[in-house]
Amino acid sequence: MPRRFHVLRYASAVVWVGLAALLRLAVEPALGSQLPYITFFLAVAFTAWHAGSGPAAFATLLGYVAADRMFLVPRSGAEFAVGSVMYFAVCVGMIWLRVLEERARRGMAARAEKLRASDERFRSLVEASAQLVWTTTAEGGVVEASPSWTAFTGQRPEEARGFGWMDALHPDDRARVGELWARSIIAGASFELEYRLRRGDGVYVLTQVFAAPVLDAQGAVREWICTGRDISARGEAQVQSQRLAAIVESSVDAIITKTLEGIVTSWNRGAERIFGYTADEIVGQPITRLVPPDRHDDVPTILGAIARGERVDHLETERIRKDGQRIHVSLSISPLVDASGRVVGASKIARDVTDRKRAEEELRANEERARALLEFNQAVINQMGEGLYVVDPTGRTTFVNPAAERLFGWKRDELIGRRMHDVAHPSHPEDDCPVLRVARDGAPLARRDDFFLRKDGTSFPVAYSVSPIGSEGRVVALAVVFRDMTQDVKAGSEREALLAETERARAQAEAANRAKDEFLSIVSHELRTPLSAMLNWLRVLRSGKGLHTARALDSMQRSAEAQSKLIEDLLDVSRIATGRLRVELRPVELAGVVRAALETVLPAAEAKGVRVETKLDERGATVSGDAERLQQVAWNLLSNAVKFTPGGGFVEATVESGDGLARLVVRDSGQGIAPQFLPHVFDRFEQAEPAATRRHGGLGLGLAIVRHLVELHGGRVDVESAGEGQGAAFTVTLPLARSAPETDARGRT
Amino acid sequence: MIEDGKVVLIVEDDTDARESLAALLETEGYRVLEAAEGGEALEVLRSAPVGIILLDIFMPGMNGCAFMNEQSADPVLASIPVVVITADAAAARKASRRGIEAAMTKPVDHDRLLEIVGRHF
Repeated sequence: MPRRFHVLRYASAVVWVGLAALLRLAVEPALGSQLPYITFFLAVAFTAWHAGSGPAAFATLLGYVAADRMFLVPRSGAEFAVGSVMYFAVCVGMIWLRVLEERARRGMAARAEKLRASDERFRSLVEASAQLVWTTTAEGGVVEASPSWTAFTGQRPEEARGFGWMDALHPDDRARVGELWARSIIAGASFELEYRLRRGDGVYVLTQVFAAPVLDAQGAVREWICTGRDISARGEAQVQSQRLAAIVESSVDAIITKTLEGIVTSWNRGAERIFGYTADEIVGQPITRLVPPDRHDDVPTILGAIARGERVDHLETERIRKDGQRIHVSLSISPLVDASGRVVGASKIARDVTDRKRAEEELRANEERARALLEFNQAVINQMGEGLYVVDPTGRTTFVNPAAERLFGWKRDELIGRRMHDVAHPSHPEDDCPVLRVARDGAPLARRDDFFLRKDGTSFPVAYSVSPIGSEGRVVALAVVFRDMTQDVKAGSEREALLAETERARAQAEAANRAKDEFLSIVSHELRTPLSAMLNWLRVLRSGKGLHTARALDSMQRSAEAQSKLIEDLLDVSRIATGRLRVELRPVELAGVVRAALETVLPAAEAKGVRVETKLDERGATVSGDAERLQQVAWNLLSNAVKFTPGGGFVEATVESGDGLARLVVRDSGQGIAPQFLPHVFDRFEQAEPAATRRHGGLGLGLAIVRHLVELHGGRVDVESAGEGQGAAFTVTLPLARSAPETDARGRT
Repeated sequence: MIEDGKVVLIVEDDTDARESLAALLETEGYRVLEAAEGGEALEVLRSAPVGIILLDIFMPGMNGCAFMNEQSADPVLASIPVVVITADAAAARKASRRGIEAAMTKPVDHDRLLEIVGRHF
């Protein structure tokens, strides 16, 4: 209390005592010395009332002094004592009352202040901590909705009145809340509950409500004070957190946190599954236990990046399981920051990609194999010598290999999309096209006897096979592989020609062999027959019976000569065959040679009754030759003519010359020669008649020898015959001997 | 001197061979008939009794084989024995399979021939 105020209060005590002294003086006349203190009671009372107990005590003392000095006449005696005691008693009594009153007033003010402060504290507490405060009756009804309620829920005060406030609850919560309220009200104890409360914007928010009873003096519930808080955020956060925890725990991926030093701080079930360590085993251990020795360099790199606040995404690397098995993992590592944003560790998600890796590798290997196979097939198709083309079921070309391009002369681009039937063999009726037939029937077939057209219009023989390419039982394409058979056909015909040649040669050889056998048979016959006659005659002669002697000798002579002739012919043929037949060439008069030959033939001719005529150019036909051999030629021709001319016929021998040539023609009217045998008359061993029935002896060597001898002389021999029974004419043509030596001789003479 | 029953027919186209064989048989006391080929031989057979036939194979006209076919087909002539005499050894071997008396190769072994012929008279 300020000092000046005290002074004023004590001053007021002086004033009141002064006024009382004046008033006593005024009534002095009436009272005299009676009742000296009377007015001073008033002064003390006023001072006590207005200025408090202290100044009143001061006024009491002042009043006593004033009364004593001014008005107390008898200073002793009982009256005086009584008056003084009464004065002080009354004054003290008044001051005491004043003190009591002051004390009571001071206590009340302190209590009021205290209440006010508490009230304010409570209000600010409510405002700070709760969004919503309201009161209800003991039964739970609202009398007057609080401003916070109306502000929060948007309900007008009259809507909330009574139990209208429950309309603001989520319909699903009303029954539960109503029941809970009822129970709690009966119990009369504070309670807590959560329900969804509709906000002014219509959104239900989870609200935590705390209700406390206000009790009256008797302990009964007078009213309820309710506070509500929007805890939707907290609920969501909690749900979120639980969800996250569930996700982490149920993740098949390993989710691990670690410090920046690489010490594991958390470990989920996925990590346990992937790496084989339980959380107990690994938490607190260095992460390097999971890292294979050759990957240890990874760790500082990763931790360095994390410390800089960087993420590591999808790092594919290898790790080691507890059982030592290496696995492929994909790592995503993020920095963990504290509230201040400082990096304090790392969270790592590891996915076991071993299977994926293996699958990828298998896939890659498969792809590689498939590609290699494809390349191999491609190479085969490109390199194969056979043409390959593929058509769709309607016959349109979809693929052509290089060999087909080359064989057809068409470029791939020219063929793709065209009907191959029209290109390759348009002359075929379509119904008969083997390719299209395979398209219809689905059964593969092969042909060897077809021709394909080239671009230039020429054709080539082909062999081909047509294979249906099916998918789900349906023909989707046809592959035609064909081969140019030109070489094969050529080779085939060459082979056939060769075969025919061989066959001919074999037939010839067989014929030659037969001819040889026949010849040997004839030789045998021709040698044995005269021998037989000679031996027969010898036996006859030896019998000494003298019969037939002349005839026997003639016959033996003939037979011996015939044998000799045969042997000569055989030797000649042998010499011809071995190339050892020689002629000595001298100028020879052909006519003389022919005449000499005629002499040996004439007896036989005469015996048969064959007429022999000659026209011999005696001087003109001089040839260069071997007289003996030329005579052999003439004899052979003449004796043949006689042999094959029946009695009554004729043989004509002509020698003539001209154009530098000498000619010997032996013509007969004999049996002639069949046209088919004409080309063979000069062949060795050839005779027109089969051995079994031949009418004429001889080996059939004569004409072969004739031809050879004539050719040795540089000439030729020809035969003509109009046919069987028409006679024959043999013509030997020889070059005339040059007359040069004679000319020389004349020149010298 | 020549007995009617001892008649030999020689069928042979080569004159020298035929005549020399005929002379040989005649000196041995046989009567010999001659034919130059099969047809002629058949004629002879039908006109004269023949005890044995000496037959050549290779002949113009009817050859030896054809003759034997004709002869064996003729019931009268079929029984007359035949001796084949040929210059061809292969033909002789072939003929010997036909149920003939004998097959001989020229030049013939006279003693053996005479022995065979002699057996039939």
